[in-house]
Amino acid sequence: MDDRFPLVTVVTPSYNQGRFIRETIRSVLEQDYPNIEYIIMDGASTDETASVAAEFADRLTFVSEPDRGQSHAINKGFALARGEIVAWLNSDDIFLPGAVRHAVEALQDDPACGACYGEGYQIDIDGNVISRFAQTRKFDLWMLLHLSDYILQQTVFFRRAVFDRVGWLDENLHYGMDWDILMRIGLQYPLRYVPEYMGAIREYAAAKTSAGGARRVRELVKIMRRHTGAVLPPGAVIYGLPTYTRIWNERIETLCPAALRPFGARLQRALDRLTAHSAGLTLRYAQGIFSDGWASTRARLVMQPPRARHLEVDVSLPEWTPLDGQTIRFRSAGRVFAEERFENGDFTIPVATPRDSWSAPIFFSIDADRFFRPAQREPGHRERRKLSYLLRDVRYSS
Amino acid sequence: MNGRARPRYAFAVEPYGAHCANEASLLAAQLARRFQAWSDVEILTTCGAGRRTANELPAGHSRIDGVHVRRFALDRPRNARGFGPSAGRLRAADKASLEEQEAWLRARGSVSSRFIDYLETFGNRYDAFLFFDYRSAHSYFGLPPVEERAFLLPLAHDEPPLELSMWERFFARPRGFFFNSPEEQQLLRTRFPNVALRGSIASVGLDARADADPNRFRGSLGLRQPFLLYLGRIDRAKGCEHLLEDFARYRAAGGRYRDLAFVGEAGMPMPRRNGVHWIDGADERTKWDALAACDVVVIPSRHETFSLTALEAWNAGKPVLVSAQAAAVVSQCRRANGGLWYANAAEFAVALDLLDEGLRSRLGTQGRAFAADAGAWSPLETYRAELAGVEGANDGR
Repeated sequence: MDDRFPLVTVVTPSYNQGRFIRETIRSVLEQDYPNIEYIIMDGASTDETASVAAEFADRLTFVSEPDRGQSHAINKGFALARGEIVAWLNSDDIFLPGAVRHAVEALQDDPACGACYGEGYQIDIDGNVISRFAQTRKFDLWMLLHLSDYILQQTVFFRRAVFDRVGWLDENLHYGMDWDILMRIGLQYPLRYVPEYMGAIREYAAAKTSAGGARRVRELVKIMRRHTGAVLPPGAVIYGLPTYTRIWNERIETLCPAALRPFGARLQRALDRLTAHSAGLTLRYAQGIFSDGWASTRARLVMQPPRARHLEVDVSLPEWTPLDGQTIRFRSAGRVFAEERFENGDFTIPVATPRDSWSAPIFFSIDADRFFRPAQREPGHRERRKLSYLLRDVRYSS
Repeated sequence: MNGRARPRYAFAVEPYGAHCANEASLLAAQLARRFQAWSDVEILTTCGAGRRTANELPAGHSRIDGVHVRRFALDRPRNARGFGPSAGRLRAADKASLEEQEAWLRARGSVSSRFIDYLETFGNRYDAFLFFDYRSAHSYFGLPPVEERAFLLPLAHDEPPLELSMWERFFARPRGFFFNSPEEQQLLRTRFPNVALRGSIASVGLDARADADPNRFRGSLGLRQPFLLYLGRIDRAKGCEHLLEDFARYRAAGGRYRDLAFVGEAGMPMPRRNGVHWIDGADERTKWDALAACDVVVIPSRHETFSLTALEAWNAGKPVLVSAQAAAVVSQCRRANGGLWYANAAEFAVALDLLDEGLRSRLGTQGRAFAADAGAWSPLETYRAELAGVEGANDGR
């Protein structure tokens, strides 16, 4: 096979998912890509999994033996894998047509990136699309580490060499091993976003993600703490509040006497609203960078270990704002390592990174002196964000 | 180009801005606007606003006419006295060491350590540098860290500071030169016979302002009759003292031009004399208003190797009267058929008598045609070709 089609290995860990696995297998084997190695690592299922896999025996490797869980099964599959690009696909999820081709093209196009991911769907138990996986966004390391796993695992393809370098899946993790490996790769390599629909996750009550409860939240918070050092990362609110609200609501349901049911229902609704509001605020404000590019008075970022000694920061201060100038300070580990001032206009500003960050990821903030609120500028405007400047891009100098 | 779609150039020039009427600032502004069509240009300058100030403008990033300008704080206030006697004395001493000469240059101000630090740290961001004006400490101390990709526009004239020995090593540093005129190139080849001085002659064109209003200028000074105009830094070294004397004699003898307007920053005391007017440190609009309003532009400097003011005058369709001692500018006038020259007070008077309305109109029209040719900016191709060479070399590092 020529260099245009490097071998891609897909590993499916499975255990008693016979009702879904045919669709999963077909989504892999029907890809329009000529060089795929497919390995199913089954944990000695007792349902029809083995017989379904046997239908495709000449096109995949099926290994069935007891394992220590999903991460262990995936790691065993990767140990067998020969591909220079690897991915795993759970036995109830699917790839979308063209996924492998898009991934290979993206990884070939960007040799520096460690992995790539794309858009995806949530599907129901029957395979019907419920919605787009709405969290997907362009790669932002701070957000990945502190706030949310916005990358749909079913769309992720890794370079095998990168996987070997950062270490395989943590077999002690049961709910967030995909997030954990993405964080570990992201702290060393860029992750490439592919604007194509590549995979789908099946959502149903018994699905592991839906059923994890408080144990899942504790594990996710532990992962975030491990990689950020933050005692209470904002992601704890994003994942914790809905889960604990669900738990509390169940208790209200159980404990509330019949006479107080109407009051209990009101309390449940209030809790739901409060949770949704708090999670929304956290998502919106935690980083200090908004989805429309505006930065607040403190914008938080993380960059991989430098591939250059300088960052290039694209900022903009439009003429229409009430601000005629802005001063920003780059701060890491409590120390200001650069200060820049700019007037109205678009600017690319080079910033030297601190020497002690040259071999490690750099966690830093950009603090701005001034801000305005659109509501102050236009009476009746409901926009109350503190806006300091537009942060167009932060990258290492080429 | 380090993988970028457009090359990135830095222009090191000091001072810079709408308030600056000096040749280096004007030339850099003209070039930067033109370069923007195919490249990303940053002006690297200081917070100094003029000859007497220090850090009057804020450090940081701004845009002037769409061009990214980055200002660095000066280390100390600028010494307004300039080269003049101080440089002469240093030269006369003949034994001044390089350190003493550099200390003298530092003492003149316009040194920014932050600018030099920036070049040392971020020099690789740029495909090439253009340094303007060899006499500037900004160029002298800024060029060495990036000399492999630096081009110098010397803006050199036949003047005492050029004799200082400190320039010999400095002129050997740049990768290349852009000269304003053949005369400037020849002057430097004579002065530095042991330096290769590789480079091209790429004299400039100008963008005139379409909104110039002669009545605005005449009204501001109450001028009703034909008048003479001097533009630029008002300094003895620029021949302004002689011009004042020549004009006083001419006026006393009943010459037809009764008024002489100076527009620019004064580096010498301005006398109060009949018919002499002065607007201090004028902006671009005032300058083009003045050019539109005047009848003759006088360029009395004896040390020029190229005159941007002459090009500006011709752009406005006005004739020039230049010092005969400035051979390069006389040559420029000959090529343009756009002016007369004078060697002394008597010739000054005769030339002005000759410059009646008909001759003014003919010379102005011819000058304008010459300026339009320069304004076609064919020299830009020269810049582009030379700079493409350095980009290729950097890519191969």
